[in-house]
Amino acid sequence: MRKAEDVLETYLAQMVSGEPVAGTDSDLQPMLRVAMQLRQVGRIAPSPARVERIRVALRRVPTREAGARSTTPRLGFWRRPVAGLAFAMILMALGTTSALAAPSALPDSPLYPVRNVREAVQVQLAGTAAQRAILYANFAAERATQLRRLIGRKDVTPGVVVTLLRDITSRVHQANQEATADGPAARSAVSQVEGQIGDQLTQVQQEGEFSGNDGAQLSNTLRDVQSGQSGQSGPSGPSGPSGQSGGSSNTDTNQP
Amino acid sequence: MPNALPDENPASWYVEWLDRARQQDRHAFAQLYDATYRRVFGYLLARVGEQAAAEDLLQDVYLAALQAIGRFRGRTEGEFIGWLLKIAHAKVMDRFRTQYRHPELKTSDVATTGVADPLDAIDQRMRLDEISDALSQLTEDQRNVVLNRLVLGLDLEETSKVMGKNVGSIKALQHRALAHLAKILTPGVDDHA
Repeated sequence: MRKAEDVLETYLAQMVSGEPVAGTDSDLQPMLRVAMQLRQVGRIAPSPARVERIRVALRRVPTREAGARSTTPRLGFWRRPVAGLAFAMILMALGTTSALAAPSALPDSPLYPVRNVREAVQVQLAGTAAQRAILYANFAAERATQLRRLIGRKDVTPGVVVTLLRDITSRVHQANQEATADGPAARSAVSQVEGQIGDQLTQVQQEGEFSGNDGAQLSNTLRDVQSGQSGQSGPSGPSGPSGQSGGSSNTDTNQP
Repeated sequence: MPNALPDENPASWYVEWLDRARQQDRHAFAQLYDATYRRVFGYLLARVGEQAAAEDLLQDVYLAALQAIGRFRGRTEGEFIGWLLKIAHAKVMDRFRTQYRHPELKTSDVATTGVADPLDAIDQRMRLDEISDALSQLTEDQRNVVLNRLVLGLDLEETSKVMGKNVGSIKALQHRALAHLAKILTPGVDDHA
């Protein structure tokens, strides 16, 4: 006696090749009805007007240089030292104390924008997509650690939680984009850091009492970090420290 | 299926147009778009269940593919379609994430094109919604096998190759997937898996 899987395959093969499917086993009929509906979905076409609009857009839209690997616009090689010099001057202008304090500044501190600028410059000066990915992931991890400590001390200023979480999300997205552009090794490294961030945020969720915007943002960030770990992160977050919004997600492999 | 291509476009056709598209030849990319958009659209429609949303995503997919074609290394139709579907999957996931955050963005009130009777359009739209919701409840392998077999119209061997699994596994997966879908979409049907 043939297995049900083989019988089903016989009918599906007829359906896919366009032959009429007749005399089916009654047990299989609900499955074949569903299969037929899916075939009908495959036959629905986009509107001709939309097809044409996309065709026109494809001809007109400017493209980056062929083979470009990153969605983050980068400075030219000779411009990087200039950017570094500019950053050094900014630091001097802000004063040494401010510059040293900036790396751990929280969103309610006037030095937090300095921290963001400092990170953006570090990213711009990084030589490869892998280095940028790790930088972004580390910036996110630093914020997750800070947030856990703040929650542990019950020392939270309104607005700080949402800003930290939002910035964690954006940096995780950037890290995933850069890692995807670089390859499996960078993805693996970023995934490890995301695991640590996920652990920190889970503790934050357990220790803190969140409601409203804070609670919603925490859930969103935790989900984004976890989806990044499973290779499904996308560009839905806000701008990262370089001020660039997200671009396309993973486009390097061949499985649907 | 209206988008059955292998007979119309032999392997050498894809090699040539892909090579030219990689050199940023827009005409070549447009040829590839014409040859593949129906299948990509079918995939998107099955995943999001809304014609207008699927059309928006179709544009996003091809614009992203245009930007990234320079680093695509495949040379066959299957590799190209697989790559496009990978991009499509990422775009669908982005959309789901955005919808989760902004549920008001769901566009199911947009009319389904190509259906003359408004009531038929509503029926079709509801059915599409149900199908895409049901597909979301399958495992990734189950979902991919039914999308490859029934929406994209691949045969058993092609599906086996695309998914990197043996034919026996594909048969088992499609049986479990359809049994699960039938249970979800047809009240009173037991899961045969």
